[in-house]
Amino acid sequence: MTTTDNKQFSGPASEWFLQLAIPVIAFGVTAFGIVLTGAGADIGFQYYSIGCLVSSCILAYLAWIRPRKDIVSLSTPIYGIVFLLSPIDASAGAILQLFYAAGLTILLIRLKRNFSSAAPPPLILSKEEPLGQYQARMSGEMPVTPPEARAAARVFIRFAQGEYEQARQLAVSAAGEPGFAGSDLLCRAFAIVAEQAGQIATGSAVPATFTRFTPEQQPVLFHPPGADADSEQDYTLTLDNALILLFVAATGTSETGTDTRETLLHLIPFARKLCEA
Amino acid sequence: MLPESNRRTEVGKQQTITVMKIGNIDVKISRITLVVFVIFTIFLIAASAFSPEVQANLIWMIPCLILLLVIPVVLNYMSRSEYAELVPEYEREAKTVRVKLINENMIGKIVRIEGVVEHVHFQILNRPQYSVADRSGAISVKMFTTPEEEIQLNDIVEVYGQVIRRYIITGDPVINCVLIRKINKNQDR
Repeated sequence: MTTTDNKQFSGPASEWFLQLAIPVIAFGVTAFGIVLTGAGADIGFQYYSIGCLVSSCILAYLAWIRPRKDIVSLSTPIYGIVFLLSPIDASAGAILQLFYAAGLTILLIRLKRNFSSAAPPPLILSKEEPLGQYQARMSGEMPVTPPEARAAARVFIRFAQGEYEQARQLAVSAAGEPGFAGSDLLCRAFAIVAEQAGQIATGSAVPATFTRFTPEQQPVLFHPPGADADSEQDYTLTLDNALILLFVAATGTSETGTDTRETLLHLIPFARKLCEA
Repeated sequence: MLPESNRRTEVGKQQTITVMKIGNIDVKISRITLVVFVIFTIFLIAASAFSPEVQANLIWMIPCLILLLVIPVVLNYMSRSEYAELVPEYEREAKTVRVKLINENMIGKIVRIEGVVEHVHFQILNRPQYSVADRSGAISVKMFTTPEEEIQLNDIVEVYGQVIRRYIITGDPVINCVLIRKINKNQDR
């Protein structure tokens, strides 16, 4: 296929026409076959499945050009070929092809929803809740690059899942990621999570000294430092603040990917729990 | 369904009775099992005194009556011995976490928590449920057998268990307890 041919089939408009063609051709040719058979045409009904075969090939092409491949859509032409080659009587063939056309349409909708090449929108929480307000505030005070957001998401997810040693390793190696510039606040958050995740993984008690946020960083933390807090309370609040910062960093951008976004969506209740005093 | 705070069982009295010791396992039955056994024994004695038909069937009624005691004892031994086998593995693998950090993404993880017992339920049924709280929050701890020691309100305990959903496939995360025991915080410090 030449570059010119590629241009003919690329772009949103042509893709829209191809998407529309799937149900139109599948249902249209089947309906045409029903009409012809009703009029007395002596053609094997299996041959009217050519419409479904063409639609399935279009669907497979649309699945192929996406960055994330959908194996289900890619495999639909196989069934189209089977239906084309298998003799079948008119009534059963009509039902089968109509169902297959409906299935192709459903797969098209699924392809558009789950395998869209567009980046998912960032996870923006409502400003009516404290976490949402903090997220909005920190989006201005702590700009985050996509590599930082991805690193923060990985660490937060692993920690929330109870994989403390993995979270520690990811937090330690985050600064080494390509494109990781890292504000002091974010780097400090990674360091705190790395330290405390390691403590949990090894079953260590609360240490006498531990990594804290600097006095200059205290005003931007979600939980302000308690005046009467003992060492253990300070230790746990420091971790909560660090985790909240990582969550906010991970959700403030659309660059974390669909799967990560879905996982972070399920972790919103955990993030809200961290916000509780 | 009543909220948990209204279903507090009577605490302060021992709810189980140690029947025997098999190996390292103290086999316990609950008071309610004994009460049921006594009630049915009285029924049977009274019935057999007044009814010749009952007297004729005593040959299978008496074994059934004995089974009312034997079956709970056997089940208790089986469950407690199984839990006892799990304890070393849980003590080895458990991660000590704050209650606040336990969330539904940790389903299946083995954890250890320390806290104060705030509520006790169903102790009388040999299926005790505790609400254990630390400084970060409270969580339900469910045990499907009798614990080794009697746990009362306000006891400071450590709990080893697995994070599960409250209703198996749905619900908030709770701890399926394998071991709960009192700890002396002053000594530990």
